Amino acid sequence: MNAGLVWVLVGLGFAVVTLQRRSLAVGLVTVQALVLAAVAFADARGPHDLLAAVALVVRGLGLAAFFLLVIARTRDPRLVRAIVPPLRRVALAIALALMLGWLIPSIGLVSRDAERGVLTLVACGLVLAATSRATVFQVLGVVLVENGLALAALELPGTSWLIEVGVAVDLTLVAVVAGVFHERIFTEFGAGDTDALRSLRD
Amino acid sequence: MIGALLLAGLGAVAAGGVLCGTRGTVRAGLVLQAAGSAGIGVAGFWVLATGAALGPGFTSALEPRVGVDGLSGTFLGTLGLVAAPALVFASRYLRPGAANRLVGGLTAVFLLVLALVLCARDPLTLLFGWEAMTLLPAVVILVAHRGDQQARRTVFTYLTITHLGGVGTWVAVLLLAGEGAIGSPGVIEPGSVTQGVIAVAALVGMGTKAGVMPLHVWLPRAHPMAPAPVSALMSGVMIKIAVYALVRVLVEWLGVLPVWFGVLTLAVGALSALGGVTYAIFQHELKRLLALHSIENIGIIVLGLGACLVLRSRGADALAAFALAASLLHTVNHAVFKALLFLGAGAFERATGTLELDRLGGLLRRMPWTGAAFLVGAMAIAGLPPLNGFASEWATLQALLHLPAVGGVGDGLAGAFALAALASTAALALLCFAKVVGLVLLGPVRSGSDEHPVTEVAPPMVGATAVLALACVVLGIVPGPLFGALTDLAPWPAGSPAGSSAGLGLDLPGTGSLPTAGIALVLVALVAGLVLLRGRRSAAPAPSWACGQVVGPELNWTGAGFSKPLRLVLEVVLRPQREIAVRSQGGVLQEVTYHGRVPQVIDERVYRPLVRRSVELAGYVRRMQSGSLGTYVAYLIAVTVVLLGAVRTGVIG
Repeated sequence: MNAGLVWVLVGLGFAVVTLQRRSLAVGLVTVQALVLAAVAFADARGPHDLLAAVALVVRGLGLAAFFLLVIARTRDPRLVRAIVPPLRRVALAIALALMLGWLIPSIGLVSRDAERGVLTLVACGLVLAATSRATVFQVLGVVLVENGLALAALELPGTSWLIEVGVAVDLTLVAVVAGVFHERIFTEFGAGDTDALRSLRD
Repeated sequence: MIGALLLAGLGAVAAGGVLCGTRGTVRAGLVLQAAGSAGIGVAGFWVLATGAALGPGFTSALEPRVGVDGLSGTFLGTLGLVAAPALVFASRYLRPGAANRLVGGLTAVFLLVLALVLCARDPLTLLFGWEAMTLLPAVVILVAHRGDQQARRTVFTYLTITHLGGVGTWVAVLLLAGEGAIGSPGVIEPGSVTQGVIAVAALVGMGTKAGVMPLHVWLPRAHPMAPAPVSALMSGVMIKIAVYALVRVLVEWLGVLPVWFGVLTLAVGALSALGGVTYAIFQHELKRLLALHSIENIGIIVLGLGACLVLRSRGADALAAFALAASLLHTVNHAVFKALLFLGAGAFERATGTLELDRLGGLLRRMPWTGAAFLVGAMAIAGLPPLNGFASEWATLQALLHLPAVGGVGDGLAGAFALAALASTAALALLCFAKVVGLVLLGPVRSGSDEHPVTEVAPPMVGATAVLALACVVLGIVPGPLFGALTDLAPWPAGSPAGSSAGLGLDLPGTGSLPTAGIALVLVALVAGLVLLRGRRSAAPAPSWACGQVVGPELNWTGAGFSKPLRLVLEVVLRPQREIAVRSQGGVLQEVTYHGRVPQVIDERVYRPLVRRSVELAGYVRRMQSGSLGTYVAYLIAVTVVLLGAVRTGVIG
């Protein structure tokens, strides 16, 4: 994959980490998935590669629709602030990405840029999930991680369709379960804030 | 033919289970299950008698396969012998209702799972059956006692202990599979660390399931909670499956074990036998008392197994085969008389509404058939000739007697201690059942009322106990054929002294034979002679002198009173607790209440402190549980980074 595209994907990842508006973050994650899908279509050499690309498009748009529906149904009265301020989150993501880069010298991909891009997206996703209080952002963290895996899959010609379809199924399940929980939390506490769950601890 | 019979039996059990799910066909379902169990039993003993093997042999590969050989046949036969009468009993014991329909269906699944463990020929099937065998009784207890806090606590204890102990089973079976030793004895080097680890893991894992001390704590809690026919299956069959697994691993697959392990097995057996019977004596509830006797009898079985291992390690193969047969004979015998006693207890509970020993009495007069069958079971478990308990305990005693002859001073001492333990166990068991028979069957009636007198239970329930009583007599008078076949099960060329040439009695190496039928004839002749001598004279009852007081029910013998002399002797070890409350008014004594209990030392000294420490530790660990999702993700990141760091620096991999 073109190095520039990889860094576009990484840039989108960092942008999601800094955001506080849920709908904007959903939009950026969807753009990321569609960029991956476009690359998959462009590099497709057979029906399997096309299947991988279709899986990326379907899950990207499907998840976007689902998240936007959830957001529309659960309008937060005020912004749910993250545990850590945006710039510090970015710093944490960079630190984790560098650490992962040192810990995992190679994951077997052809392109070194793609390897770094995968690890950075995984780091962004993990930091977003760990430092957010809003349930939607926590799920978007998981989606970022999965986008990283999708990028890795595109660098493994021949088997990418298996990974992409698997990722799509995984994410659909995660998103549906998380969506149900989010709505339940919202109904109980009046905000999609996982910090409210602390009160349930005995 | 045998295979077809076995399959038909299993099919009938499954069909019976399905029938139990429908309202109005529960009894038919249970009777069909009983018929199927009988078929399984016949097929099992048929395999044992003919020495035939069905299906493929054992494999260490994870490929599901089933088959039957002589050892499996022995236990399948025992399963049928116990389950058939127990299910006929259940057909009248279980009252109509949704819960009991479910219990009937679960019983079928339980039986099929027990058969699966016995027929498993690969580690995967064996472990699957093992886990299902553990879980099903828990479900039955919860269904039978829906909403009962005590039952939930009991099930929790049962599952915790059996799963913690069960780790040993997994370790043993998977290590055996890893070494390729399942079904291939001799693969593991004798005396190696691997052999020792597998043997100890099997003794812990399978011993927990068998209920050996000190891993027994679940047994006296769980067995009494189940409905009586299920208690009979648990005590009669389920814990014997653990013995089956122990024999497979220790005697068959691990080859010749070192002497120290045989001595360890003897010690575990002696502790279980003595501990089980001692605590049984001080019980006030009949089913709990019977459950503790299961620990005692498992101890006797393990003593025989220990003798087999020591004798085998000393090269005395013929005597080792004899000891193994003694152990297996006691396994079959215990299954029969314990099932009889549990069913008898169930019948007493149905008739009187209680199992408290101090509230039962005179049942031999009110329930003559069930009472007589229970009396036979009590005599058998007490090891009285000419019943089956005597035959197998005598054979075990003979096996232990040979330990000093083949080994050195160490073996001799171990054998002497084991002999002393077995002899003491037999004496204490006799004391315990003298108490049970005296309180429950003899004496004045202490339960029921004029409106609801205690009467005999339904004929199928009586018939079930009668069949098992008859089996106790037959296995006691004619143990030879079964004992001979069991001796042939030794997986080494034994040149056995009591092999296929065995007659009707017991052929005992070095001490000649024990003509059990002859002993029975002499006893019958003696009793007949005494009856003739008594003639028409009858006992002349006279009122008891109680210092001028009116002799009321409160002055009758109680369980605590009967066992008090022993309690006083063992006070230092047992540390009994008692509480006496005296109420007087105007200087005149009005009421004296007494509460006494003998706490189990292992419970108090080992498990209770262990549980307390675990809860304290859990309190510390709980601080990590913040309730914040972000924190949990951070934990995951930290663990991943640490593991990756370990790989990067070469600590792992």
